[in-house]
Amino acid sequence: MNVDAIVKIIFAIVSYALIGLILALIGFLIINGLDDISWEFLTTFPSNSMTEGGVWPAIVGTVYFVTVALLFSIPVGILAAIYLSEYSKDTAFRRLILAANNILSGIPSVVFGLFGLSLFSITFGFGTSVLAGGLTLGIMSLPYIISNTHESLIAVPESYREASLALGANKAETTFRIVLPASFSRILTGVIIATGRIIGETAPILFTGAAFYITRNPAGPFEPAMALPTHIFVLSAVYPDNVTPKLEGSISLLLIIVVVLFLLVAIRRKKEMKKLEV
Amino acid sequence: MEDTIFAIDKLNVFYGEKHALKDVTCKISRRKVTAVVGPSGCGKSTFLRTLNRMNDLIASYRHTGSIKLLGKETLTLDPVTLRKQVGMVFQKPNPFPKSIQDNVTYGPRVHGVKNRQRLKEITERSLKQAALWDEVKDELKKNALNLSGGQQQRLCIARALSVEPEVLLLDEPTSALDPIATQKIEKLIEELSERYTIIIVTHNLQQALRISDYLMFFYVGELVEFDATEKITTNPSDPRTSDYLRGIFS
Repeated sequence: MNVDAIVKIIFAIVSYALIGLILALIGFLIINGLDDISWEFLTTFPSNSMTEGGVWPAIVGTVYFVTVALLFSIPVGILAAIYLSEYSKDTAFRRLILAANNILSGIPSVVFGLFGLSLFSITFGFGTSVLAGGLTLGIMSLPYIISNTHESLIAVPESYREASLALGANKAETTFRIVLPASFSRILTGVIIATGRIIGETAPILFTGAAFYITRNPAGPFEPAMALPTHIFVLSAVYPDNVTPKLEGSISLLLIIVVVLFLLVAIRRKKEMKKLEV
Repeated sequence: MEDTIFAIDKLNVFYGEKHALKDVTCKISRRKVTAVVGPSGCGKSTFLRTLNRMNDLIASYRHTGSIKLLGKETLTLDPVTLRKQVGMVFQKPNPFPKSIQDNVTYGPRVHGVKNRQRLKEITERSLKQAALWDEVKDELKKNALNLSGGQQQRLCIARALSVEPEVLLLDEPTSALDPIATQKIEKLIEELSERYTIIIVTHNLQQALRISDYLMFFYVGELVEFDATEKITTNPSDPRTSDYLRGIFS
């Protein structure tokens, strides 16, 4: 057997083992909790010190947190990316901003959590609330949305901009009517990825917005809410060994949501590749 | 009616240190086809892009001198106003990734036309002028990127005509097309010259001779010769022109 064949086999073993491991892990966790997931589990409040009942408030809270996060990060991120790709000149300053943005996306989420606690909860006085937690998640997803949108915008052929300007359109019209629609699909894919990332985040909302246990859903953005990842954290970390809360169902549910989001991304990517081939 | 569309006086163009156009002075006739030829890097595309101020987008670009469009100075005019009057078609067909209809109505919409009936009329008129109407009239909602290269280029011409410009600048419009599509575009240029002033940059000397009324010959940033095409081909006044026409360099 020659060297190439051996190397190929080693690579194949490593990658198949990796894929197998991931599939086994996700599959095990989802299937393990599938028994717990029922209509009742999805629609009722937890009861008996969270050892019984469902996760309805955690689902509602997760939706609230993610909504606040996206309401903040989509407009801010897209406008910042438009400025970077369409308006700013290629200077050292722009390169510095892009580099800083890349560094930001690598910062551990617990740092964002503490930042959010200090800025939103304490300085702005939002306390432990959906608003403070959502904004913290929003700040955390911002670097990814900016860099993905920026890349989508610079991928739009220069010839589209030229054609628009040559018709007497100004820069704003060219940006919003030609460049942005042409890159919309890729920007949206990035937003879905960002959603998938923040939906499972625990640390950013742990200090800023998560309630351990509530008996009614938050009435407004200034109240805390439960969320699926913090719910899992609480159930797994806080309970003594002899009490068994319904942990598997929540893990399974969260994983299903994330997997569905990333499947959506994969399908969209495949469609985009097909479009490019035409 | 005025016979001169562009009166150009001592036009100098620079890209940073590079002197791209040197003291160009000339008058371009209205509703005629003027072909701009010369070897690569001679400044012919630069010249064309100065006429609608597309060069303004390049950071290192600057100019001196004067270009008057129907008596009005263009180098100080707002580029947006200028570009409505001076349309442009590019080397590679560049329709927007939208429907055929949206491609044609983009310009008018940007300039404030909202009435749907009016937009429909503009679509039909522009596509007819660009000799594309019969081929696409039943599929105006189809994505323009599904058209053939030649059709796409005629769509780009229709798009440029939709805002009713005075002048149509064509920057090597057939260099990416096959011979049959090229022939269609050349025939179209001839028809359009009845209503529009056409200035075309071309690498194809035979094409320039076939379709133009006037010929401009640029060489290293200089306008060497500018006269009626017939006059230049029979009796060029500069030896560089006759060398170029004989194909000694290209």
